[in-house]
Order: sequence, then structure tokens, then C-alpha cells
Amino acid sequence: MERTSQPDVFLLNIAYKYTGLLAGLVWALTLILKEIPLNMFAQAFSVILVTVLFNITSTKMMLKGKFLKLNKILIGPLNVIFVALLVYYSGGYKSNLWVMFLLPLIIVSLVYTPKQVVLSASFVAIICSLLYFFQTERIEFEGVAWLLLKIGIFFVVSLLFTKIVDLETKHRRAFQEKSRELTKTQDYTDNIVKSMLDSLIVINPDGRIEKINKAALDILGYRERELIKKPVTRIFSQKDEVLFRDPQWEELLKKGFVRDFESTYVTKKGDRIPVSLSGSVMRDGEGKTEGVVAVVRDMRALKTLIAGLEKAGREIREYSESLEKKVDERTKEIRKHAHEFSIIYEISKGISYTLDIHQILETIMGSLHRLIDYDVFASLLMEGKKGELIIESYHSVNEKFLQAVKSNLAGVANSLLGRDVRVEDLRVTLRKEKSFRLGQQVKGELESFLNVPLVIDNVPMGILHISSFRKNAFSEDDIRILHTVADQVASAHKKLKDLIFKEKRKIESMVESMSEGVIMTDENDNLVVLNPAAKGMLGISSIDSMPDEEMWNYFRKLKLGRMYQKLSEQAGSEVVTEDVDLDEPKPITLKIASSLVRNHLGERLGVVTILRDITKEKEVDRMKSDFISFVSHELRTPLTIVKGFVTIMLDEASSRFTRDQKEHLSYINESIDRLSRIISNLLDISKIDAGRLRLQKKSIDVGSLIKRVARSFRLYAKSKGIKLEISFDSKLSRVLADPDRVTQVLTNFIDNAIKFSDKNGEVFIEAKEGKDVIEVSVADSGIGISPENFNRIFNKFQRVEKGVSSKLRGTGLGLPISKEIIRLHGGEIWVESEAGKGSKFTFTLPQK
Amino acid sequence: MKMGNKILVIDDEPLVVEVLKIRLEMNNYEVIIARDGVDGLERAMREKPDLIILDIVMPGLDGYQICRKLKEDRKTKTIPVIMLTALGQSAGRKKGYSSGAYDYIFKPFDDEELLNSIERALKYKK
Repeated sequence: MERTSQPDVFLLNIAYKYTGLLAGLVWALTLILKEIPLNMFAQAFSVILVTVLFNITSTKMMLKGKFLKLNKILIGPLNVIFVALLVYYSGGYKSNLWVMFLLPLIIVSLVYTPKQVVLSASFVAIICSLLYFFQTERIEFEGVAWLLLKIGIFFVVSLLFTKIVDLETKHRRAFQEKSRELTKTQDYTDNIVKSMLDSLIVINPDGRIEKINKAALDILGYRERELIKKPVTRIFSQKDEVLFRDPQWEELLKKGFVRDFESTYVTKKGDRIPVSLSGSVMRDGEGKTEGVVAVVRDMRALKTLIAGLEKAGREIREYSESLEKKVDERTKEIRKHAHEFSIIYEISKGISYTLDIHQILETIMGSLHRLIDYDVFASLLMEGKKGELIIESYHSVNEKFLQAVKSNLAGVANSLLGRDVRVEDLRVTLRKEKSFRLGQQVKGELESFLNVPLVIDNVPMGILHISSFRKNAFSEDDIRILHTVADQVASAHKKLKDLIFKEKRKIESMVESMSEGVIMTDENDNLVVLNPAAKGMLGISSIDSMPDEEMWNYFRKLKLGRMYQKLSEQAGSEVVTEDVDLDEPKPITLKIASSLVRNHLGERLGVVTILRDITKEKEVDRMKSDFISFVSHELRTPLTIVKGFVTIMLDEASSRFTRDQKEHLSYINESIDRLSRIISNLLDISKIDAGRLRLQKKSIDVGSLIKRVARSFRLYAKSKGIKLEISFDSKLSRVLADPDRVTQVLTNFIDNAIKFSDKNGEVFIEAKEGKDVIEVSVADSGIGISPENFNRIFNKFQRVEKGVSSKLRGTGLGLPISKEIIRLHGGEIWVESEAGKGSKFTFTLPQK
Repeated sequence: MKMGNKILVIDDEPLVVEVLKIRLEMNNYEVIIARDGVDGLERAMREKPDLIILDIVMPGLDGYQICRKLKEDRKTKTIPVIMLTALGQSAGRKKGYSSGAYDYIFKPFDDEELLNSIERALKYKK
């Protein structure tokens, strides 16, 4: 069906109906009022027959779409002629013909264009003249036969009229059907317009408002009559008036459309509203400009939406930052605690007091030698039955010498300490004072000995021993000094022990009252400490009667085994952390930090584990992701509806819409896609902020990926007159990457390249092997970027220049998202450019 | 071939349902509609559709639960289910497949993508 068929059918309807009726009327009048000659009557009858037959056939043909043009030209003039003939036959020939033909001419001029009227008039004039000259004889006819003939003719005429009415009804039905469908389409359009909340304004070529829809009036606060036929500049800010004045207006009319012109509405109250205007010039069939249809989008909603999302994003980001910080602090705190505990644990469990005495002895000995002249200093410390003998010598010693010292000390120990000490039970540590009398050989036997008992807390714990090769080497003073030293060692040790005990008690009560759970195990993985907080978290009431097996069930739940495994694999006293979900006694999430405890020799003494309840933090995290899904869902649902209806209209209604309308629909469709991309981008960004962007890597062929992406841009590039070129080595090695995400990055690059290129520009896509990487670059010949902006463009919500941004739209999120995607792949992303000379964006993917 | 195939659309959003109905009927499918999970399950049992298009976020039973129920029942388990959702996360996709869906399509959907998926699902069922 053709676009023009509707008005034609409509015209035809009128012409056909009225000529038919008129003919019938005239004929009836003639029959009733006039006595006319038979031959005239017969001629008139034939004229009616021809009229009716012609109208029926031409209507049928036009409905079928045949000979449209011919019928259009003929139907008017011929009907005029038919009517004229009828008028003539009904007696009109007796009076002034010209007046008589006025009536049909008026009808024709109501229905047809002037050209056709003139044509019809000329026809009429010729026919009338001919008829006037040729009307000659009259034959009278009277009687019954005449009456019968009249009745017969009535009958035939009625039959024909029934046929006409029939046809007309059918035709009207078809017409109504069409109108109904049109209304249905109209309803859809209304729905769309309502959902989009866009203003529709029809502007005539003089820049005055021809039509304006309710959405526009609602925004502007005007009534329809206040704006109709008024200059369109009334509703736009002064700055934007340029669009509606020459030369811009002239240019728009010539160009035929304007896209995304960012302007400002001024409402009746004087408020200013940011809007985006897209318009198309309407032209009639002959290409004459009828006006401009402008779709004006209220940008407040989108701007508020973006601002709202930005704000929500910022808040979430701030919250997660503070959360992160908290968790960080927590982790640090836990690490610190774990470290502290390991030291205390070392003191309380691992370190025997003998060690401390060694330290005390060492400090004392440093000065002792200045007071007493001896050759050997030894200290014997008893631990139960065994003793530790430390010998300090300023000489090279041999086994015989050692044996002498040992047996001397063992003997003395028996008498001084009242213990049965055997030489074999002594552990001997030999220390040499390197800075002192080095190299002197032991000469002869040890001649002098001095042994003083070391009494700690009234318990003899050991012996201090000095000896010399000289005879009578030690004076009374020396004996006193050594006693004093022994006393000092004892009292220092006592003080230290008290201190440790106090410190231990402090730590123990701290551990008891801590809100974090603390678990300590010794070197054999036996439980040493399980504080109340840990019991609460695990739901343990008492551990006193608990079998080890059951205990370890709890520990398994905490994945302690795995933590211990990790710890033993790692060197040093690293802290290992893990998040664990527990279902019993109540569902909680724990952050667990385990740390190895070692003594000063680096031997493993046990493990300290700190448990922290992070259920609340996790819950907030969950709420955040729920919020993001909610926003996504709520935004996409209405978009789905709008897109669905628009594509249905685009698809199905090919005959119902003008080309302009279809173009508008495709704009709507494109805008929906863009909006949906913006939402996806915003979601991606929030995912990146939350660190929840995950890659689904697999082995991919970069070359074919490039080909596929480039193909999808072919049409877009062509529409902008831009040449797309691809170059890559067919033997590029495959890389391990997320194909969807890499496609996203490449799409973003190419989209930008085309967007920022001028007509006849060129976009060059290249992939090549670099050092351990595949390098993909997209170069354009567009406006370029100045070096100070190289880093900015990869930041969120940044575009280069204000002037650029108003013409070229986007969320400014594509590059930051691309950067993150490439970063997650372990690749790099950068730009090289010179303002005005095009840019080259490159990313790399590491080869695996 | 596809003439007369019956598709059950389960979605609580009336206009989404309307769009789907028009689009599917344009492609010669017979469309029946359910506004929630309970109604949807009942219709699936009673009317034995050839395919089900299922929204995920709905009051009452959600799409995953409905899909699981459909796959558990002997009468409905062979009916392919296409999930159509405005949720935009790949985690949801995994969950959708694991609850037995044949395909998982994001809103706003592309007509061609949806129709292709339907055709493939029907072929697969045969």
C-alpha cells in the first residue's frame, strides 16, 4: 500500500457519493416534473448507466491499487461531464447552459485541485457547445408503453443504486478499519511519548510553535494557547536562541536535522531547565519545508539520576573506604596483638628462668674480670636433675682441661647444693672471650678454684666458679666479691621473675576480657588458651571435660588446620588471615588471624590465633550489593518496556508511519540502548569500587576477536564516512583473558575513535606481539588529546574539554572501566596523542 | 514449523508481559500469561506450554524457585525455560543455569536474541 492511498480513497468516496446522488436527484426530478422526448430520455438513461458503471469500476480499480493516476485524472472531469449531460437532458438545454454547469463545477472545485477544475471546465464548455448545436428533433411518445418504460427504468435505477450503496458500505468499512488501526498506533505513540516524558514541539519554518504536547506544557507551565503560533524562542533561553535565528536556523532547515543540541528551557515562572533538543525537518511530498519536529528531552531526570547514582556511589565508596580502613586497622591490631601474645607466650611458657640468669650473668661477667684475675669462669645452673655448665675461658682448652673443670664442679655441686650431680648429666657450653689473652695455651694443671653457690628464692640453683693456673690465686676479697655477685644475680633474677609473673597475669586477664577470641596451642598442637570470647563464638561452655577429638572438630570448623599448614609453609612469623562462616551456635562470619610463636632461637613454640566477629561488616557489604542490584533492576524494567514497544512499532508498523516518524522511533531505540549502556557502565564502576569485578578467563584468539568487534562497527563508521582498517599477524599467540571484558575495552576504544574523528577520517586497529605481551592499539585521525590530559581521561567522570563534551556525549566511564579491566588482566593501558593530530590508545595482555 | 507453539510468560510487570505477547504473537506463537509464581506453576501443569519465559524478581516465589519446581515435576521438567531478567550480574546467570534454565537473557532484551533463543530451545526440546 502506498502512503498516498488514504487521501485518495477519501476523495474518491466523496466524489463518487455526491455525483451519484446528484445524478439520481436530477434524474428523478426530470422524470416527475418534465415531459421529455423519448430519444432524449434514452440518451439520458445511457448517460446515467455509463456514469454509474464508470464510478463503480474506477472505485474498484482504485481500491485494488490499479491505474491510480489515470483514474485520479479521469474521475473528476468525467463525472462533471456526466452531471452536465444529465442537467442538459432534464431540460436544462432550454435555458442558459453556463449557469446550469455552475453546480457541478462548484462540486468539483470543492474536491479537486484548481488544475483539475480548469480542465473540467474546459471539457464542460466544449461538450455544452456541441450539445447546443446538435439538439434538433423531438419525438412524442404517449400511453401505457411510456408508463411501463418509466416503471422499468425506475426498477433498473433502484437496482443500480443498491449496488452503489453496497459498494460504498464495503468501502467505508475498510476505511474505518484503517482509522481504527491508526488510532491504535496513535495510542502506542502516546504511550511511548508518556513514558519518555519528552517534549514534542512542531515548529513552522518561521520559527513559530505549531503544535506542542502535554509533556512540554507540563514542564514549561504554559497553557497550549499561550504558545501556539508564538515564537519558539519564548521557551528557550536567550543563549539558545541562535539555533532559531539565521544563519543557524537556515542551516538546520537545509541540513534536515539537529541532534542532541544542549539547551535550556525557560518556564513561565522563569525557571531554567537543562534540556537536549533533537529535531527533524518535515517536508511535504514536493520537498517543501513544512516545519521542524523537535523532541526535547528534559535532562534533569538523567542529570539527577546520574548525580544520585554518583552520590550513592560516593557514599558507598566512602563507607567502604572507612570500612576498609576499619578492617585494616582491625587487621593491624590483630597482627599487633598476635605479636604481643607471641612474646608473652614465649616468656611465660618457652623461656626458662635459666635463660634470664644467663643474661644477668653475662652482664655481670663483663665487669667481673676487671675485679678478679682468673683464667676460667664457669657457671653451673641446675634444672631438675640436669645441669647446664657454661665455661668461659680465655685460653684454648683441651678435653682434659674440660674434664677437670667438670669433675671439680660436679664434686662441689654435690657438697654445696646437696644434689647428686654426675658429670654425664652436665650440658657444657664453651664460650671464649676472643678479645682477651687470645691464643695462650693452657699450661699445666688448674691450681686454684673458687666455687660460690647461687641461691635463688632460698633454693640453691647453681654454682659460680672461677679457677686459675696459679697457686693461691684468690684472695679473701676475691671470695667476697664472688659472693656479692652471686647475691646480685639472685636478686636480679627474683625481680625479673616477679615482673614476668605480673606481666603474665596482666596479659592473662586481658586475654580473658578481650572481645576477640584468642586460641593458643603449643608446639604439639595442644590447646593452651581458649578465652571466653572464643568460647562464645564457637558455642563452647567448658573445655575442662572436653575430649581432644571434639575440640578439634571445633578447630576444623575454623579451618585452623589449613591456617597452620599455611603458617608452616611460610617463612618467618607471618600472620595468616582468613574469613570463615560459622553456622552454629549462630550464623556469624569470623576474621581469623594466626601467628607462629617462636623462641629466641627461632624454634616453634606454638600458634596464637585471634578470632574477630565481622558479621556486621559483611552484612553491610551484602546490603550494598543488594542496593546495586535493586537500582539496576528498577532502571532496566521501564527501559525494557519502552524498547519493546518501540521495536514492535519499528517492525510491524512499516506502513503506518512516515519516514520521519520511523526515524524518530529509531532515535528513541538508540537512546534506550545508550541509557542501558550508561547503567551498565555505572554498575561496572560501582563493582570496581567495591572490588567485585571478576574476570572469567579462557584462552582467546585476539585476532578474531578484533575482527568480530570491528565488523560490528562497520555500519557506524560508514555512516560517518570513516575508514576502518585492521592489521594483525595471523600467528598471534593465544592469551588467557575474559573475552567479554576484552571486547568491552576494544569496543570502547573503537567507539571513541570513530566518535572523535572527522568525516573522511581513518581508524586503524592493530594487534602485535610485544615482549611477553599481546599489544592491541586503536589509532584515529581525530581531534587528539593534549599530554596534560593523558592521565585524566582514565579517571572517573572526566572528559577532556567542556567544548568537546557538549558535542560528543558519553558517561566518561568507558576509559576508567577499560583501565580497570586491563589492570585486572595484569596488562597495561596508555594513550599517545597530539592535540589536533589524532590519538592512539593501546592496551596489552600478558601472554601465558 | 513453529506455528501453534504455546509459550507461557511468567512476569509480574504488566507492560513487559504486553510487549512479549505482541512480539511473540507477531512471530506466530500462542501466548499464555501468568502474573506470579503460583499462577505460573499451575498454568504450566495445566496447559503444558512448549516453552516458558520466566522473570526472576517477583513477589512471592522468585524465578529461581519456580524454575527449580518446574524441573522437579515430572510433567513440566521437559519444558525449556528461558530466564528474562533485569538483574545485571553474571552471578545470577550461573544461578539461573544451575536452577535448570535453558537460557538467561538480560533486559532490555534484543528481539533477535530472544527469538533465536526460543527457536533453539524448541529445537533442543525436540
